[in-house]
Amino acid sequence: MTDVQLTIVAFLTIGVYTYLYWKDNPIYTIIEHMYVGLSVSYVFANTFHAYIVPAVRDDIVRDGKWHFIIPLLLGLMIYARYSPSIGWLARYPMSFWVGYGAGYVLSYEVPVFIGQITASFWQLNSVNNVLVALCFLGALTYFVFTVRREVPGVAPAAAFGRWAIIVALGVSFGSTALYRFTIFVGRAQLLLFDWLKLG
Amino acid sequence: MNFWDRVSNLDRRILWAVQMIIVVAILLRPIGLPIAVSSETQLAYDFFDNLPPGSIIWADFGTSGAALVELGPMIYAFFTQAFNNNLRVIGGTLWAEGPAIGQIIFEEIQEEFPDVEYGVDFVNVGYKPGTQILVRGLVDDVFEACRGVDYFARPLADYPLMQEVPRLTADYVDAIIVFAEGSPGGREWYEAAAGPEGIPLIQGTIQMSIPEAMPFLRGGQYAAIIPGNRGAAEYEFLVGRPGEAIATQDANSAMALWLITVLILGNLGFLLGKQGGGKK
Repeated sequence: MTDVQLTIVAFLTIGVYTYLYWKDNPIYTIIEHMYVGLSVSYVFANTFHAYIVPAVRDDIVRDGKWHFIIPLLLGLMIYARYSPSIGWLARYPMSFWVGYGAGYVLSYEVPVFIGQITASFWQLNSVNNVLVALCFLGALTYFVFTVRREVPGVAPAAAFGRWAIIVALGVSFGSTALYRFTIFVGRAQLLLFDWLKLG
Repeated sequence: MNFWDRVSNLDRRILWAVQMIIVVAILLRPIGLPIAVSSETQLAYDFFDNLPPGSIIWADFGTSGAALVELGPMIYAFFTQAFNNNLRVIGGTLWAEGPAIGQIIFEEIQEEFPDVEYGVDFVNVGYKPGTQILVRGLVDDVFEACRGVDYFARPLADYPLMQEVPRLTADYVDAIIVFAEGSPGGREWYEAAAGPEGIPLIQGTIQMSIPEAMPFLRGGQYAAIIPGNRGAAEYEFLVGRPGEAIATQDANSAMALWLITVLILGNLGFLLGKQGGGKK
């Protein structure tokens, strides 16, 4: 990066972090909008030139693959929702999409889960696996409301499951916080060493 | 308001300021904490080390600028190990910003490996939208799924490396590595290609996604994972190319300690303060 580019990057970085001290301020908002706009336009331009243009120009017009018009039309029908009178048209691509998604999940995702359950649940050959099995059963018990808590063993199992869920959420929160901190360290590196040349 | 109430009501800007001071101080004066290599990263390193020269690896640079601090060093280290071992790499990515990032890193690494040639040792097929549908398309026909062109819109058929890979199957590709910032990531590649086709999959993952990736590793579905910035530092250490990940380890460790301290203080503040039922 040239020094001018680095300076722009540095000011944008500092501008984003103004959120921490002055919440939703104009500098942060401008940079946020720039970021979203750039990301979306990059993806749009990329997809348009790499897929949509060749599909129309080469596949449909040049090679005569007229059936490619069907997915093209299905895609365009999504935008019908912007017009109240023909908004119902958007339901067709959505139903197609959901149907495909359901079919995909059933054919490809189930074997993945079964493999993980087999590895960590049914083979109780380590402390970790036993713990996973207990947490799994505890969390399930916590969400089963058709069995009375007075039935012996149900209340302690549900309490254990509740703690398992709390710990899992804590791990998730901790990982997320540390990830943000790591990003901050990366930005600090850029500001200190690349921009200010302190290292 | 007692002491613990004041702790739990501390202005968050003070916390941010302390955090900033810690990071700046440690980056400028590193402590040099030792790096112990985890079994996960060692698995990844050993996997690539045991591949015969000439093996072909499909790499998804599935990252945006945001996760570059974690995934960037991994990609540098991966290219270094791959080209040290005469492995060949095809970059094909489900994230729009990924190919540009992969290409920039490749060109920097290429300066260290002057014999490495684009088209022979590395091809960047670019960003391909469609997630699992695209991956299934690659399994059926790489050229058709990529519309026959690479990141620079040049014909794939012109490259000797691509002539050897008509399909993304175990017959033509020896491994898939996914540097995943989120979804689509390793899961999509595993479900649609690596799992059904029996191709070993390695995932370089961000800190936040480690809990999600671990069941895949434990279940034997991933051959290895490189876990977060810590894993990137370990990988750099194993490859023998110290870079940004190693340089940030002290600051990251300090940040983890700071987070634990704040969590403990916050919880004590809640439990012992008036809000949490402490002494009124």
